[in-house]
Amino acid sequence: MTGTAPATLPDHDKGAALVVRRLSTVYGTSYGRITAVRDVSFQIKAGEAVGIVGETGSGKTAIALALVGLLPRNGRIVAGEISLGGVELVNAPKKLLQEVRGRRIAMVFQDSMTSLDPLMPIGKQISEGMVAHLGTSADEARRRALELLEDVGVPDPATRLAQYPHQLSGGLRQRVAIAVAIAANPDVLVADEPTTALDVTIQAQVLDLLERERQRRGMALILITHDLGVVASVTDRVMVMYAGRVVESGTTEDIFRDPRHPYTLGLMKTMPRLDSPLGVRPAAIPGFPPTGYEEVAGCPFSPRCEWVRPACRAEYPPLERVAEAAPTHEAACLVDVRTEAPGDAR
Amino acid sequence: MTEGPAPNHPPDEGVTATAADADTRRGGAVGGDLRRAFSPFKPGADATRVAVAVVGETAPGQEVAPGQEAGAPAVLGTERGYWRTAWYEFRHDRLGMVGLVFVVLLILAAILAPLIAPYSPNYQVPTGLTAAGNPRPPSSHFLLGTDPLGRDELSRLLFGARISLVVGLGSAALGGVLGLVLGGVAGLFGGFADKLLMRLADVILSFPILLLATAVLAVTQPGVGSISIIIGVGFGAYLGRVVYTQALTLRERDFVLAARTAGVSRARILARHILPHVLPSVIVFSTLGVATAIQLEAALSYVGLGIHPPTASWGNMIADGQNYMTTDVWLVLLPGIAIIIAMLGFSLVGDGLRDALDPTLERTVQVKLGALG
Amino acid sequence: MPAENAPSPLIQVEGLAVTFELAAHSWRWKPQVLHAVDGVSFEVCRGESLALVGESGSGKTTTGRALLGLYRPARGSVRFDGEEVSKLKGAELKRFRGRAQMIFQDPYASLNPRMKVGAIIAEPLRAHGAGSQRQRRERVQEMLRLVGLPPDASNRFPYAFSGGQRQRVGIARALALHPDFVVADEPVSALDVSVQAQVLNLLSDLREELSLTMLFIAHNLAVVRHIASRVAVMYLGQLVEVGSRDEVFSRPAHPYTQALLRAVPPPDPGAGWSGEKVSLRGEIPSPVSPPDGCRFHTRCPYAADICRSVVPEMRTFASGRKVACHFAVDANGGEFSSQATTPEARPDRGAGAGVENRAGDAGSGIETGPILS
Repeated sequence: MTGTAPATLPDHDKGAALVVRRLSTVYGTSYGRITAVRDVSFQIKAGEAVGIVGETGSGKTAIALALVGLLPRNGRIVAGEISLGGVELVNAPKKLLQEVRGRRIAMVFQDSMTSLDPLMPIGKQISEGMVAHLGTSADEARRRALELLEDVGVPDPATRLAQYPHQLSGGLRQRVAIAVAIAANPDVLVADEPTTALDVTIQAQVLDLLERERQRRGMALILITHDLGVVASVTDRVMVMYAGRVVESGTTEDIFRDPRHPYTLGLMKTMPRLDSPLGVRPAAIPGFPPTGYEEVAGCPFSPRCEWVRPACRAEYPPLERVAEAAPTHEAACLVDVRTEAPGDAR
Repeated sequence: MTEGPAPNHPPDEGVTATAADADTRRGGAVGGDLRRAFSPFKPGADATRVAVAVVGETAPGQEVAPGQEAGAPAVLGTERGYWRTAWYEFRHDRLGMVGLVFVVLLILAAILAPLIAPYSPNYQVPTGLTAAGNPRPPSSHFLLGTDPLGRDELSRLLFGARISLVVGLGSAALGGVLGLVLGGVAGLFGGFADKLLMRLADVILSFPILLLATAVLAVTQPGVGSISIIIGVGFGAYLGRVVYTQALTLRERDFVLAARTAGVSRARILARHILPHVLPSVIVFSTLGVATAIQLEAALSYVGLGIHPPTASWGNMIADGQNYMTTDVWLVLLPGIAIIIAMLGFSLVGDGLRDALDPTLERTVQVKLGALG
Repeated sequence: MPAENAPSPLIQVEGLAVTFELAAHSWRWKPQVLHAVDGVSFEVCRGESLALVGESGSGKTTTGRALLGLYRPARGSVRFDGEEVSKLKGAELKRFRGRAQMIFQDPYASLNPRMKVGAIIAEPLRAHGAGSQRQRRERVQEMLRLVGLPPDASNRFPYAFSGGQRQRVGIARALALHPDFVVADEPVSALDVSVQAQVLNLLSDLREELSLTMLFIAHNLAVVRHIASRVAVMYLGQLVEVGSRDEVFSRPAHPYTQALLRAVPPPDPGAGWSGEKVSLRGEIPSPVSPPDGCRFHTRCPYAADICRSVVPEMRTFASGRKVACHFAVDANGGEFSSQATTPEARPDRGAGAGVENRAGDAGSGIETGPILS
């Protein structure tokens, strides 16, 4: 970390960079109220890389937006706490939030074309945060912007400084967006589907860049994606979300080697992969994810679940530790998918 | 992952009966309140792509109902079309409705003028002037006073409304049709038609409309018709450019490409895929154009190039009254207020329509919903 | 597979080039020309599914659209069932449009938001005057059943559907006329991974059921693994490798194909995959001024002098696989069927070092190692 923290921010505990407790958010739409995030808790240690995996509508983006205080006008946090390095962010004054954003936590969006300002040269967009948060002088900020562009692998950075976002390719724009996000050395970087709009080849480059910068800066990384494959090699831990809830979480190793929630299992099976036997069609999860409008009794995945049993429809199963040997591996499912066959209790 | 579609429907109508129905409705009521409170769908928000409102990948009513096969996708049930949705939106736009009330009152006044006007507009009432020959101030005999020739001001205002409305609506309608045809033809067919029509539009647009009108009216017989045509042509050139640009973009949209691949004829592509998407902006611009046309007519009549006395027009009424501004201020004030009310009414309706019809359709019908993720 | 019994080509592409003129800058005399597709030859046999794979900017979408006659070739020819597509006119063109259809990438852009799903699916039928209105309605129901949508979907507007469901609507529209040939342009890349499998399985079922010939365009090789019978890899407007699915996946011969395969992150935390190890340097160059020699040399880890100056010929291996690389050798030990240059100069870097074939690591009974000598 460079520079000194603004006086309003107390010294924080580097041990747990981010603590989220029982977070719930809703969106008001003209069609009804959507509960996007339901009672989600997690902790992220400094420098840790955590993946949040889920489908459209699972609430993963809502978490990200809540973390950086950028929920849209029709969205709000209805319960829970978000503590970033000891600073409570829910209901925090605007000014404090502004200081925290960028300085302590920053975000990279899926669509860099809209997250970057189309009318501002990219050099200025990168240095802006440094000037605002770190009080860097304009010259110094420019020099650092140049360095950052080099760090994120933008060729010919000196020329690029003066260019506008539309002059760059999608991959380069995403690199610039990352440069903007890490300019003020945040403790936590939230990347929401940073590679979804990119070619696989460029995706590999961007994942590599995120990983490199995370290690170099010791910042925590929250990687949000709908593609389990993306988190496998990049993150230390994974949380799988469904219908606004975390249905399974654990180390990446645990999740991939020993998935316990039927939904996680389904995701594993549906993934397009190169090592599956040729000619065997991928299994698909039947049905469609819920919308968040309806209050589902019991487990929200039960309508699509092969293991479903009457008890699943009665009550939402709590997130519980699944094995003695894996202290962090938790799943919210009544069924033991290892021993019970699908359709047993039907 | 891309943005999901969001149903943007009032909670009270059009939901299929599924198991989730009751819940959706209840939730809907809350949502309605929330919507007003947070007002998520305000325009000017192309930025919606990043952050605005959000529903998930699927639509409400999606909870699988008993008896429905779990694998079968359930979908939101609604058959409400674009125009009904737009009307729903407009009804909930307070300013737009205020504007609509103004417009309706104005139209009623114009239509009913012969019935409700106390006097004939051009009749110089024998008692219409004071002994000193000055206009009479408002009284029980002359509700809004009289003009310098002893004519009843209220009657002249009511009949003036006819002129303003006919010119306003006529030129906007002419301009709308002209713009649609010019822009549509140029945008769709390209090539020579494109170049010719658009350069023509540029030439017309390069003259200030007032200057153009002055020049034309100086050599022709001024009247409601000629004024409407001049304003309408100028407006049509402007609108033609707008339609042209939209048609160019629409031509490249995937659904138009899909229609072409399917072998759909050009005329039908125009009718089903281009026109419905251009029409909303033509309607919005035309409504706003009415306000501008009313103002232009008043200005032309004021400088003596428009409606000639003794026919009453708000513009020449102001001209008639301006010599009495210090003593009988209502002579200028009243037609001025009438012009303002008319322009305000049409502008508010136009703005309301712009929100409700949202030509891009991103807001009213399909709210971009990335934020649920 | 019927294609193997009677491998007669339905589509024959020879030396296809498609160019676009970029808007001329004011200081340039000649407009810049973008060579989107530059000399591409391949065949699609009846009943087969050919995957066309490459990054954005490789020209794969343009190729697909040129096959449907949406772009006029600057050079070369596209023949459909023996007939030159660009020369089709009138009734023949219409018949062709009925036989060749397209499925689009973005299910939000490819459905007209103002038409009900039933009308969208019926549009191709209407355009070709197929059946009475009642028969068309029945066909729409049949198509909805076929793609797994509920019957009442036909009365709803697209916004009521999720991305995956919309894509099904797009598929129903494309197949309504029972076409012989379908171009599926990245049909799943805008969908969640969890929904991708559903749509891919649906497509491969329908392909078999309706004995469709398909060109499946994708940027991710993993996606086409189950649906393609052959794979063609495209880079910067040209084909670099064409071969059977099994061959291309198990023994990718061109460094670009290898890179595409390695770029797919394996769903296995222990695989030791990292973007750094596998990623290609830089990005695809501009098609306005492609590099000399082998177009891939600017990003190729094995590029040697010859690559920078000499354009590699497309060579055919014994197995029928074609590769355009100076250094590719036939792993089966067969001779090149064309008298092409064997690599004289070995690449200056240790070829193959650090370029293990990841697909091989994954232990799917695949030979490891690139075929680079």
